[in-house]
Amino acid sequence: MRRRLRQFMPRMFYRRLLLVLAVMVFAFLLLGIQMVNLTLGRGAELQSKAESVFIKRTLIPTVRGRILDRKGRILATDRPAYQIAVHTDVLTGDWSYRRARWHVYRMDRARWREMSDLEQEAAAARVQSIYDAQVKTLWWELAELGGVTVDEIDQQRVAIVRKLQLIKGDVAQRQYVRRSAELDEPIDFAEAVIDLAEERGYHAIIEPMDQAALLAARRKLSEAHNGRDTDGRLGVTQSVWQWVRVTDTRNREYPHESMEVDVDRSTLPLPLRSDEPVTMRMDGVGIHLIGAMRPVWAGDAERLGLTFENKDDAGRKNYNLYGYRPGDRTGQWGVEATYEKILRGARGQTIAHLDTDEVERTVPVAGRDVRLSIDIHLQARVQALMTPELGLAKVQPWRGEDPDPEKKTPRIGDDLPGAAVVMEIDSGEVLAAVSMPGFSREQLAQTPEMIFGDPYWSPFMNRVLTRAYQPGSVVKPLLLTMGVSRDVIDLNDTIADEHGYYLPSDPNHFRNWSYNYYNLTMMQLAGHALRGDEAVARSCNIYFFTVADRLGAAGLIEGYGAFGAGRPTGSGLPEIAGELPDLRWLNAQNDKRGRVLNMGIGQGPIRWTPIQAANAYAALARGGFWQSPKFVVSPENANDVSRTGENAGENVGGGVGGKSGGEDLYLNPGAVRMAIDGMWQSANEPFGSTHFLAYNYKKPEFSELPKREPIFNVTGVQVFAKSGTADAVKFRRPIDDDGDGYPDRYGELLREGDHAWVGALLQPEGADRPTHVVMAVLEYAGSGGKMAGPIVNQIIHAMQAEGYF
Amino acid sequence: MISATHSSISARRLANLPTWRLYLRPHVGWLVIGCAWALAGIGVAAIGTTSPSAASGQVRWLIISMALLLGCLLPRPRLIGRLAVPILIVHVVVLLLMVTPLVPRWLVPSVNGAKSWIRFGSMGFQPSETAKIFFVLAMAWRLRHARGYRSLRGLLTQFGIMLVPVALIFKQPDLGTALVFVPTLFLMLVVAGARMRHLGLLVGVAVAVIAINLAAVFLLPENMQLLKPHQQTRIRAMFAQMQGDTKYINTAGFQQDKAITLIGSGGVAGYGKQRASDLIEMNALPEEHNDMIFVVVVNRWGLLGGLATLSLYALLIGSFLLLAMVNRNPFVRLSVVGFAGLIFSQVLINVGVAVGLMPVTGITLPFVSYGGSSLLAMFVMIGITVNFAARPSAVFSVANFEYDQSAITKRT
Repeated sequence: MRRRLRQFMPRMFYRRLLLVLAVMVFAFLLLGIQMVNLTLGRGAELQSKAESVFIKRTLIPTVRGRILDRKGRILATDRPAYQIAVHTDVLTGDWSYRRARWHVYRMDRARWREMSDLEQEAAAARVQSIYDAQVKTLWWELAELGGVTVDEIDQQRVAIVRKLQLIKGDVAQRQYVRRSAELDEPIDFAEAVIDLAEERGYHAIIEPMDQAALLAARRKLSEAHNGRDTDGRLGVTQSVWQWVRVTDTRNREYPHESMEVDVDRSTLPLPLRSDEPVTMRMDGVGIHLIGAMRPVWAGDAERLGLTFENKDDAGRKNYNLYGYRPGDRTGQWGVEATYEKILRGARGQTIAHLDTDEVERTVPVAGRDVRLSIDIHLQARVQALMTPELGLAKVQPWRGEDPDPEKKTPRIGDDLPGAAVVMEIDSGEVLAAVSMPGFSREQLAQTPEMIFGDPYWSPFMNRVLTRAYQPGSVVKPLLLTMGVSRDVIDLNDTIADEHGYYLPSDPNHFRNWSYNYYNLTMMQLAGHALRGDEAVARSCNIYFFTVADRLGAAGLIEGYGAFGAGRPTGSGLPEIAGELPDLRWLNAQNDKRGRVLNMGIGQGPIRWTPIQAANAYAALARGGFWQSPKFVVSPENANDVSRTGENAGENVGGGVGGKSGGEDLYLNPGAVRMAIDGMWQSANEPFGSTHFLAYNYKKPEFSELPKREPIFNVTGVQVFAKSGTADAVKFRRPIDDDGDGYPDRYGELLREGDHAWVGALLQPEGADRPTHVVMAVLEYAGSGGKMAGPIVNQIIHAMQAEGYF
Repeated sequence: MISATHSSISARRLANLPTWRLYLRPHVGWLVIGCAWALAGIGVAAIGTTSPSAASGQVRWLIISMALLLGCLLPRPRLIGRLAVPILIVHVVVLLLMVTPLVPRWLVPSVNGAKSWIRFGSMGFQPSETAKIFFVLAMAWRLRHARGYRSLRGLLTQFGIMLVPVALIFKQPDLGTALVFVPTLFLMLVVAGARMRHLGLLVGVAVAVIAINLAAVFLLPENMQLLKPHQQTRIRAMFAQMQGDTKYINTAGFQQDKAITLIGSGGVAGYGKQRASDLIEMNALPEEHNDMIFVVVVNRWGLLGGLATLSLYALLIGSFLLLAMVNRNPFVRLSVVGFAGLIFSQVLINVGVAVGLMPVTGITLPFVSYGGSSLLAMFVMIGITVNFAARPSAVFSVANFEYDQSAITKRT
């Protein structure tokens, strides 16, 4: 090559000139390529960036939709409020540090450039006190404006900085785990630390303010932003007030969070009865359902696909007015979280084009109201009834003697957690859904560890939707319809309980409850073999062992599944599926027959939530038509929106799932009538298992009382009820070894015993069929009818008081 | 031999022509001057984009520059060569005085932290601009018959001489102008026939120095750094900008970020005068008349305008190299290659900074940037080049800068 070049161009001078020319051409080509890259490759992005200076965007806040109850009462609403927010840099002290550096730099730029980093730091430190003093004065001025002490301002400041650090640490930790997993090797932790939008934002330091303070703050801000130095040059002198803002916060208010409820005690069980009504203050009414708001966390917007500022493929910035900005709030749980997309609305904006003087306006889209099926007054009443102070959600002496002291069963006088649901049968609308213990917003703010840290009482958990229990005998009416509808038993068939146990080969198991307690068979108690309705009324285990045995595993699973066990109901709120075994699994079990028999009386491998139980009863009352329960009545398509809401289900351990709609279970109408008739007998006949409370004469406190008292003492309403005493899984303390929020093993025994259930269908006088269903459960309370029955009775009274019958 | 005889006859004929006839006949100088005028015209229009008053100022400087250009046509190349060294020495003395504390501030004020201007009332002059021209001429005069640079020691001596003005300009500090001397001398030595292995060694050392400095910036602690803090920051800012990291865009990377944004936004055909003016104003591009004038060019006339400007430079540089090829006078040859090197280095650094390929270094874009000193110096250079191009080349019996004996031998 070289030789050829020499032959072609013998003169060295020319060859060198050619070399120089080649180098220059190459360099110019590089410049040209980079120019093409910038103008054509990144042109759109850079054009948008450059032209963004012509656009002045002013955002207009929106109003979040209200949450209303079924009668139009406001459960959650936005209220205008103003607060003073200060930039993170001022809160952390970075502002005075940067101002000090700028100060020294401006004094002598040339000298500044000559300085080493250490010298620059030292020079800046000498003047920083000027700016620190400005910040200190700001705290005094803010304290005066907000009517608080400087110490309080300082505490708030420290709290904000600490929170930012925590969030930053948390995000970095998640980033570290994610990136390390992606790369399949641990990354340097420093790489995981990213700048958060919150770090460049404003944080409320005084909230909310009165009008006078607001005016004073605005004046101060106006002076700061129009500040001129002695030469009249704008913005040369910088006041720390330029980093202060008055922000429109729109506080979320929950007007019915605290209510006073008058409880008529004249219909309570005799030992608790009084002619004096009692007024009870209820806090946190409906809090599990309504939910709360929280600030947007780092990563929320990305996860929801709702970032405010987005870049398209060409790198141009787009703004999603529905998107989230730092400082925005979002629903944390309940309807606030699940129906976020409906409630939130979108900001409006004005875009002023400085180059053309055009102004574009987009009006804000107000969030839509969400109307719940809940009657907040009834909700408060039911909550009051389930408050231990009233006495019904406590173990009472009429339950019976305390068992073995070694056992962890609740003792007389112990408080009982539980849940209750009231539902309209035809529409599936839930009128009240109470989970106890509950909590108030104040408790959540002040002692969150009490709300989240207690695994057994777990006040944060909505037991109606997210805790599953063995159903016990409340399933027996359903079993009767399954058996008859699938022709394994005839309507008029009777089954005799001759021995007190079902399997002669195993007399210690699969017994009738009467045989266990009183050593009496049903033949002895009733004097004859029982038909289906009597079996329901007397809660005869032998009858339902027989039905279950004939249905077999497949029939039982199919039957229970048709009534909604083992799948979310599609209520539109986050809920769990409960437990219904898989047929293959059940078939593979050695003690398959035992399990099938147990499932016949609502024990063994089946668990459901109170909402599933109530909905199954509603399906029975509809003559075998199953449909999803509803918490939200409008907008009409709200349930579908909630299912697509990606934040649905967070923090509550369940997801919004299940199909919304209805299906015919093709139940035998005679069987349905018989099952409901059995429930009527259960609640109203002297032999009914849900009929009476028995007061033990041996106890001195009961000596004045009659021997028995009916559980239900309402007038004008027919009650069809069935109790259940479900042998419950022992509750052990969950231990989370790896801190992932899920238990890895279980420790000490906290509770054992039986859950107490009562489900009731209510038929007002004049109606031709039941209109409402009430379902209540008390955890580990013992005897179902005796413990949960009085609560259901009082709920019916409460419904009457609210005008439902 | 035939072509040599022919050229000496034609040279003799040309020597008899009156001087004005020499200038009017077709020669490479016309191409040079055409490119320079075109570039200066682009400059005036670009400056006028954001400041019509500055553009009229530039036109006034352009008229003065034309007068100087005409003046440069008069002396014979030999006289220019003889005077180059003394004039360079005068420049060195002036540069020396400027960086000593003896000179009063009113005469040599500190502008943007640099003492690179001499103030005469409302007028200012930047001696480093003309120092570049006379450095090229002086070195060309020195090296025209020398052979010393064929040894490594001789080569290093040339760079040692260069260090005198470079150090003084560096001290002002005006890093950009100081930097231009190195590639200029290097290119002159390349065509003068310095040994490639020695030049390769120098390139290797330069690359190593750059690499060590870069490595130091990113790897070593603050107390072990070789560059000044603001220089380190500019390098960090440039690499951050290349990686899409925005942490410097409001500080050290502000100028470059704005430059890239405004260049990219220009698209294919640019925004036109009014909108470009608004955009540049609203984006607060610093130094938009001087170091960042190329940004204005691309923003106003787009990629096409940018490429046209670069093509004009390429044509100008090509004309210089063509002149070096056709002229037999070693002084002329080295001078015009040096001028080409000067323009090439300035364009490379200026445009390189603007498009984000080099860290920020303040340097003017020849002919286009606003400023009297720069424009005067450039047209002095053009005047001298036209002078060289118009006059008949002296007849030399020995081909100069031909050290490749094997090739010559083979041919004979």
